[in-house]
Amino acid sequence: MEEYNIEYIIENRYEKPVRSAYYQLLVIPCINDWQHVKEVKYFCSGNKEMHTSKNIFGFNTLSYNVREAFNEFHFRLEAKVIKPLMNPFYVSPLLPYSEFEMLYSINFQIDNHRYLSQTKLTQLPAILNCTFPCYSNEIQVFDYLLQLNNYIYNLLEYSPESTNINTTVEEVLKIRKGVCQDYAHLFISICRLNKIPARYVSGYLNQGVGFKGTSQLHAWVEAYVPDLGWVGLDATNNLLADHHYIKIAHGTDYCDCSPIIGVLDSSGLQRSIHSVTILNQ
Amino acid sequence: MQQKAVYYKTFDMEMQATGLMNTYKLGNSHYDEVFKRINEPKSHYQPIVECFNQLSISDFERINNEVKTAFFNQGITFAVYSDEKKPDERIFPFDLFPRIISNEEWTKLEKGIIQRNIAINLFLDDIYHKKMILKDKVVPAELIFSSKNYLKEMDGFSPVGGIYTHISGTDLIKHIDGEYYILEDNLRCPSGVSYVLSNRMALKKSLFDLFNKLKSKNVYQYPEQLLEVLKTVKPKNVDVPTVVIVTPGMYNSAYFEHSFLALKMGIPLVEGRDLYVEKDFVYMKTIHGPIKVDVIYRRVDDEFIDPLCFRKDSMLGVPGLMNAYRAGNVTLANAPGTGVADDKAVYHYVPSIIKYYLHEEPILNNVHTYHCEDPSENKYVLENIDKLVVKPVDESGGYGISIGTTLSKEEIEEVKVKIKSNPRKYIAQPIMSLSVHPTFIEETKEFEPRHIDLRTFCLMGKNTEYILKGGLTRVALRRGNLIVNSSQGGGSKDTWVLE
Amino acid sequence: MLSRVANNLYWMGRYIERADHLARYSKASYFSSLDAPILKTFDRNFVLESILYMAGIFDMEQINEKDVLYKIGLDAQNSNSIISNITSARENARGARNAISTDLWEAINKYYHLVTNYPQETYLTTGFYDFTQMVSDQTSIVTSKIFGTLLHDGEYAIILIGMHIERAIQIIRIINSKLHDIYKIEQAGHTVTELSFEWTNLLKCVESFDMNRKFYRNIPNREQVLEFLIVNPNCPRSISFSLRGLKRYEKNISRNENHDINTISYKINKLCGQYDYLSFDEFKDDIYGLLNNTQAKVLEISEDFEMKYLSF
Repeated sequence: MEEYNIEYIIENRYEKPVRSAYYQLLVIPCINDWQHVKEVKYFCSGNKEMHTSKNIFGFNTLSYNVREAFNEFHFRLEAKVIKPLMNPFYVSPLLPYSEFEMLYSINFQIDNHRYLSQTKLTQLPAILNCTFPCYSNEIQVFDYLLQLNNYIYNLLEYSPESTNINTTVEEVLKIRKGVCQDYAHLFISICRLNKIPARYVSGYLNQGVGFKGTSQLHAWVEAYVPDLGWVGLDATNNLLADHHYIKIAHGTDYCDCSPIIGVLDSSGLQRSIHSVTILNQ
Repeated sequence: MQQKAVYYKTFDMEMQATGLMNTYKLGNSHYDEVFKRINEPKSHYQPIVECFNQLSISDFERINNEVKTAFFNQGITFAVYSDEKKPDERIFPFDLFPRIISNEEWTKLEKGIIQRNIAINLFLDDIYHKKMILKDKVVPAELIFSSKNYLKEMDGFSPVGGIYTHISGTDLIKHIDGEYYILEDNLRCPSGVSYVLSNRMALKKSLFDLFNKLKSKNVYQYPEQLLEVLKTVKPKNVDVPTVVIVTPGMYNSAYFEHSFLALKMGIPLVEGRDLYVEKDFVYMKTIHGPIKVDVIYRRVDDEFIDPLCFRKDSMLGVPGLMNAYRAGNVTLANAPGTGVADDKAVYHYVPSIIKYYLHEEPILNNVHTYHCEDPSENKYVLENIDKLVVKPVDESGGYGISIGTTLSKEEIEEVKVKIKSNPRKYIAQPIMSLSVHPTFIEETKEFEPRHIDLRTFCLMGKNTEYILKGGLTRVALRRGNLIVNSSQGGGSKDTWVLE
Repeated sequence: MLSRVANNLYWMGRYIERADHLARYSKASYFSSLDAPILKTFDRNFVLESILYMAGIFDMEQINEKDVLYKIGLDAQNSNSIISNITSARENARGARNAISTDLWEAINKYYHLVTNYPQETYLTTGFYDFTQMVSDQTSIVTSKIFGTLLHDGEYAIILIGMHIERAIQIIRIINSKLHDIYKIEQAGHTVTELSFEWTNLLKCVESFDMNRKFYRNIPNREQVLEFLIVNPNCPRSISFSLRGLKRYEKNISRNENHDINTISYKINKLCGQYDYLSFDEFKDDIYGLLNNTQAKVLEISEDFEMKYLSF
């Protein structure tokens, strides 16, 4: 059993007064079989209460609507999350061939279409400049995913500031550099190309173990393994997601999981600081 | 019997004397809506032709000018922006000779349109829930999931009453065989109904005598019916709903229609900036504070309704609107994501969709459609471009259409390149021969045959359907032109459905 | 009523009123100058400067008759011209299209087309009188449609608040402008009789000559003209009348909510109260002071009003 204290802080400062704004935050750890949320507290500037609603994937968002002029927006989240220790390794009872059949059945593909269609960010270029491990009916999906994880880990160079949240897979393949969301997007697009459903996951990563990508929110993927279900993989660190990974939400790509979206009525520039602290007790 | 014969004779002589319609020459290669042969109108047009024949050309021109001035003063105009400082305001040309549809013909049309729209609505409900039609391979799943109009925000969401297409504008044409064919299903924000009502008002004021000769069904209930339909889909726990129309603003080309409908329904016309979302409820800003909004007839395209969900740069939308919608606190009409069903590539499957859900034969025909993404059909299209109309699947307003017979060799090659580069984007149809209708041409001061189509308006609410008895007959004013959209130099006619 | 629609209606009212005053002032000043007894007034530049002063145009380097007439009338680039005011009035009406009657909309739209399609050449040669008269006539049609085809509730009140605020401001401007002219003439040493021509002219600029004659039965003089245009509660073109109108229609909107100090209602009532008991003797020594003070207060009220009801 691991217990984490998470703190997430956003500080936005605006050069000119903002007349009105609507913020939507997706930062609260979700609840599932591998994750127990013991306590959640959040605070934001202004006197209004934040509103909780479910997004299209069923995750809790916080929305905040301001209608009086302001210059600063602050937000702080504090959460206590308990995770059971887990060994993510797995051996499938199914033969590669039957796994393949399942993935390639039309009903399965229709039911999982959301995670099989490429998005603007995951769209691969027509001509690939590298050879990815190939999935076939002779390899188990789980093993394939591990190969792919390793391949992407070695293919890209971890390099903050080389990309941004709008960077597409096509661009990442050109520069061969990126951060966690680029690793995740590339992973997702290869899975989808091979008809393995894959989704983008955002969350917090234990800061005490020396992983990459812990200074901000982390991103990894979940891919579908027949019989087992969704498995978390982190190509940035070449790992399977285990009790060090605290999930917030999943979606088709980054756009479904961005921690804060704001629509502002303002003309000036903004400065934004996000900070994350994840302490393991 | 004998008396009747005498009557016709006199009638013929009158026509010889003054007849405005005398110089009318029938188009041979097209279906003429009015005349069987020269000077011989079809029976349901006879009293109208007689009326027109009693007018002199100068009388007619005077009336025509009066109507134009009235449209101008009423502001039934669209602005053409150029480099000059002042936008050029133009009226939509209105032709005084009404299009008349017999009761029998209409009855079939009405049944066919309702059948089609019910099936389309079931189809939308299915593809956003169980997706049975895709699993049964009646419609290819890839076609739906690759459409940019298929919205993941709608997947698994059930709108009130199961209604997606509260307002649809089905476009039809009549081919040389005298049969109607469906041209397009407009399921997003079909416009034109304000012209139906304005045209009728204008015709009544200018040629009221026509209405003594033939009895046309009334079109004025439309705004009331629309309001009723919108009220049937109010969110749960709302007693008397506040209904509003959302417009992109007064620089939108359909602003006249938006304000017209708001005025006729007696409901507020709001812009995105008049609304805000608080705790998943939508409010409009009034001089005495916020008022909750329950039903929104939105005339803003999907991608602009909520900058939080769709286009981030949209200034027209309301942040948080989709959250409020998905929470069931506000109804949007039409539902977002209906565009997936009026995609021109899906159009081809509508007859199968009707059979699949309703177990009925389609009452109205489709125009045969070739899909460029299908290899064998692609081959046929590339070899026969000169005989086909090629359309992009996701454009409206008549843009991007190439008509084979009008293309030069170079242009044909250009079209081929376009199709080859993105086959999913194009469909092709045989060149249909749109029927023609006598239309007054100002340059020649004569009635000449011009191509027409028909846009119908169908409303669907919770357990209720209504179809406007009439429609917008659009006419291509340039000789030989087949494109009737107003943005491409088209005009319109009042459309009568006989009692 | 939507705040944005209220904003449209308010500004529609203001622009209609503004165009009307500008047209009448230009017409009255220009035509009276043609046969003026005082040489100063007869000097065309003197009149043209006066018109520019009233229209708030200060950027003309050389004054030339045609340029001035064009600038105040049909110059769409000049935001203070009659054509710009009417265009703005019509754009605002369009933005509030479904909140007003079809009759009113058509009247404004027709007005707009008449102004924008007025042939420029005619306007500059023989049409100046016809054009300015047309503006007055169209204003009357529009105001009669406002009065006769709208429900006398919120929308109506907002339009009238806009019109009364604008009228108060314009009357003050016009009096100021004419006082400025008359001061210059007085300095040149003219007789009382000669000056009465100028006082008559001021009355004509606000369409109050006949009313004034009927009220005083006298040749217009300083005291009677200023008293009439500033404090007479029955002259529809006086400051007092405009303020009373403002008070009356603001009540419809505020619904008598409260009269606490510094609310809009409080400020309007206070200003009206001051005018109710004001006599010429009290302000004759400091007319500019009174006018400037009133203008500042009206502007403050209009800003408060826009902030409270019209922002969205």
